[in-house]
Amino acid sequence: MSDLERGPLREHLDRLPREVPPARDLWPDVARTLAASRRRARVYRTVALASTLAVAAVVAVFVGIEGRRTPAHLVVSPSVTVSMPAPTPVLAVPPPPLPEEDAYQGAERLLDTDLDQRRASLRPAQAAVLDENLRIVDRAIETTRAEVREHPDDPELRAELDRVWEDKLDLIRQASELYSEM
Amino acid sequence: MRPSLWTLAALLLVLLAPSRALGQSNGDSTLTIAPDGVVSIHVVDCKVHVVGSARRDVKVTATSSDVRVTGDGSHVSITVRPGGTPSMDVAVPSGVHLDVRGVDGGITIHDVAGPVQAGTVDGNISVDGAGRDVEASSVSGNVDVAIKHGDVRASSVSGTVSIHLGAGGTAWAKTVSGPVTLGGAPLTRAEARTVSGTVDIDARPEGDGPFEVHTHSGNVHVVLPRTAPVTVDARTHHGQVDNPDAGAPAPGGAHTVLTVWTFGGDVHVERK
Repeated sequence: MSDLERGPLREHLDRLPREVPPARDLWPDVARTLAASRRRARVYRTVALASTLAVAAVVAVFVGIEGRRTPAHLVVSPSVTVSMPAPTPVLAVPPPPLPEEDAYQGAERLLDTDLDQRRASLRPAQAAVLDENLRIVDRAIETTRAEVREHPDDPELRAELDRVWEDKLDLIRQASELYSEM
Repeated sequence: MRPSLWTLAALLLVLLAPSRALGQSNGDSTLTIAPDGVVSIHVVDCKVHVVGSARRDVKVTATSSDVRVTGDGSHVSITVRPGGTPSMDVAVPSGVHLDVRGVDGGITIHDVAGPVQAGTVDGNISVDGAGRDVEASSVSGNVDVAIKHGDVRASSVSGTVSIHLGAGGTAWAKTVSGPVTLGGAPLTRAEARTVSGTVDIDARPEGDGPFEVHTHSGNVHVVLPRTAPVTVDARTHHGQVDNPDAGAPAPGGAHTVLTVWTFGGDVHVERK
């Protein structure tokens, strides 16, 4: 750039205003951006804290379970031997019912008819309690049934299968009776 | 027209007279009843508090007048429909047979020595004092029976069941997922069954029982008096038994056997 050109340019530059006010008020946008940034920071902190607690909880549970699994082969009374602890089986696919469960299933169908008639009058919370406990009993039936299939000659397991079925029928019967008051 | 008005008035009197003769009324009511009569209470959305005493009548005190009370000298029936009254006090002769059924409202019963039956869907049930023969059940409410001596059957689906017999008796408790607590001395019979609920027993079993605890996955905790001649026969299929020596018979020989069986729960036995 020559000296001739630099002179007028200098003059143009000198005439320009030192401060130009923005066409609109920018501060509300700036404030919103800052607030959003603070919220994101809070969320990140919360997620980080929750993740840390979750990892700590998993570690604590694992350590607790391992700590409890002390070997035990314990004699409670002269005629009784306690079985070794073993993990409760997790059933990917529920085993099919055993033939001796037919009578229970027939009774369940009869009682269900009565309970289904009461269901319409239940509030969501009441129905949730009923369904959750039916699920608990169903899981108990499935796990016991699987064990009976593995140990068909174990009379205690067969007795437990009878008990959990009676639990289920009692649950349906008791709920139907008490819901009939509604 | 005058004869017609008299006829109408007479008709109204005839219609109203039987109700009064039966003791039907609204709000606070008092009706006589035989000492061993039956009192039936059916309520919805109402807390009921029943107290037994030496009185010879049934007195109902409600915060609202929408309470139906009928009686014939041997049976008093009290009914509260939804929105009737939020709470109600009922004073009864202590020897009556009491049957209380409720939806959405707690039931408390104090010093009723006659047979007591109580059931709720949601509300808690509490029985204490002079009870002798108590049967109580709930779906999601807690059942708490604490009497001096008697025979108690209590159950809940998801609520807690607690039975305490200070001077002994028999106890039967059942839940699906709720915890069970049994206490008292001496218990001449004790049975508890849960699916996933825990069972805690702090009692002195005595005699032939039976004394049996069965859970599917709930843990069992047994506390026995140090010198009680009781053997604990504890078995678990997938769990474990802690401190089994405490379940061994006390010196002098065991007369009573407490059987504990659980599919997947743990059993802990201790003496104190």
